[in-house]
Amino acid sequence: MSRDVKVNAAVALGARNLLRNLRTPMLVAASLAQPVIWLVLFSQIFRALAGTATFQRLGYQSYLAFFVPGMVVLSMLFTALQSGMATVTDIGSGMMDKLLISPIRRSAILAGRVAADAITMLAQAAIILGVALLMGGRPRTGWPGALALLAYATAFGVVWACLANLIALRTRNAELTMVAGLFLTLPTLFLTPAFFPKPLLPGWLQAAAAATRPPT
Amino acid sequence: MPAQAAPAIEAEDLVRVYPGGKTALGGVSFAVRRGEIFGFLGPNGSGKTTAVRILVTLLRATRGAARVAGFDTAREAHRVRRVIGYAGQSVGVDDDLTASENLAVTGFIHGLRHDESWRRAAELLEVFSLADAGNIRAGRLSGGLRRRLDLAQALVHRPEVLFLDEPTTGLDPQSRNALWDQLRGLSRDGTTVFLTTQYLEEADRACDRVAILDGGRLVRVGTPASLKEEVGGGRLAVTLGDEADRSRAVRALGSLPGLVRLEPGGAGDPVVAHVRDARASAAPAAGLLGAEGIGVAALDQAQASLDDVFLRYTGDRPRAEPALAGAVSSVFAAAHGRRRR
Repeated sequence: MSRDVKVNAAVALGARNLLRNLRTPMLVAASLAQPVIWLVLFSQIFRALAGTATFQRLGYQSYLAFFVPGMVVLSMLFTALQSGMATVTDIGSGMMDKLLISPIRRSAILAGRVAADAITMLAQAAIILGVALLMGGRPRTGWPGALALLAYATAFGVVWACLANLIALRTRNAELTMVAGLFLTLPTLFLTPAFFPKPLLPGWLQAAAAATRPPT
Repeated sequence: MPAQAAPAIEAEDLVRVYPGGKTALGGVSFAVRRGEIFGFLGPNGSGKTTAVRILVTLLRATRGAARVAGFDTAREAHRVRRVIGYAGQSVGVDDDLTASENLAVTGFIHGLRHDESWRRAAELLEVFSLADAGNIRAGRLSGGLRRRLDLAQALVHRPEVLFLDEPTTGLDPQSRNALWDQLRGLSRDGTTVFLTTQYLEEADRACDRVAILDGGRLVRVGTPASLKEEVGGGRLAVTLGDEADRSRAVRALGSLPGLVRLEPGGAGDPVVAHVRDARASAAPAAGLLGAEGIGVAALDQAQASLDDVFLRYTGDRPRAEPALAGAVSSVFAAAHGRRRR
């Protein structure tokens, strides 16, 4: 088979970004270990919650099953921040200049970045789901629900990755990207029923959540 | 200028004012012929990098225009990007990719086909003596090797016009010589090379023409030889065997070919002849003095270097002759409180 073909720039850059992630073993290990640790800790800490009447009325068998989607989203957020930081690294190293003086479309640079993020995020979400299954959690909505979760979470993560890249391109500063990203993500995360079912949130937080229409 | 169409690079009155009011370029004009090796010299902060970044479409000029291979760098940036190669001051290699992967990716984004990219990657690894590093991740290579890889990246797609911002910084002498050999080879094959450098001796040997930039203004453009001549070229110092011969020696040296100026000197000083080319005038000087039977204790020769030219035009002392557009730039300087280097 002839491989004398034109290589799509976004695909080339996406492959490059994925390779980079895979070749940073600490990054891979951390992004795999972190969700597992969170899953174990949260499901233990909040186990008592599963016994409350409100929680049971909502139909969850365990806190683990309730918390998995929130955990998936949290991982997406962290990966999105990493994406912004990688862009800052590229700017600082002169790599971005090399891309900018080439004839590729400017959008291919972002597309290549976000495509790699999407693949990374999908893999992460799948791994978290797998770990949760091993820990005994079962999705209430069955397999279609699990697949929908993967798709939704990845789409959500891609949006946040774009946002993180926007901050990165504006600030060109890794610390600022991290801080601004966390500032945007963590408070909004607590506005969502990711950790606590909505009826259990304090009244003012419920009102704030309704006002901001959280994405989950 | 050769009979070819547009010059490889043209800059017309380029001005760049950074946000905050600092003027990095205060109106710079020049043209570079196709196939020429053109060196931009200047002290730190003189605007060299700003000029390069405008030419490679990374930065917009505040005023003025620049064309590369006939294309406007602002309005036809996409066309400019098809014909240029660039290596900046920071080494733009991906530390997590191997050397050959870095080169291949560069090929891909410059529109080379898959096989061609890998073939060029292999070729350039040979050319830059990086063959052993081909499968090693760039982050594990030494600084000099990474620099070489960075330069190789700029060549993957065989650009018509090559821009190198301080390409020899961080290279050992062998690598520097190899690079210059290569640039000369590229130039012979028709590639235009525009580079900035702090190594004046190298610029002297390798550049067809150089431009001296100071405080955002072009103070001199010319061949290294012509610029050196301007600052006095060579110097011959004749130490007399007998002080009584001084006036006869001065008279004899008066007819020295290539003579610019003669300093008779006082008792004990050598007679100093300023000439265009010290080496070419040394033997005739000895001949003239010998014919008169004047005893010479020592004949020392020195040739002006590009350093002399550089210091003359960018030195700290106030300039004797106002350079191009001096008045305008002084106004800029006064308005923005720019320190003159």
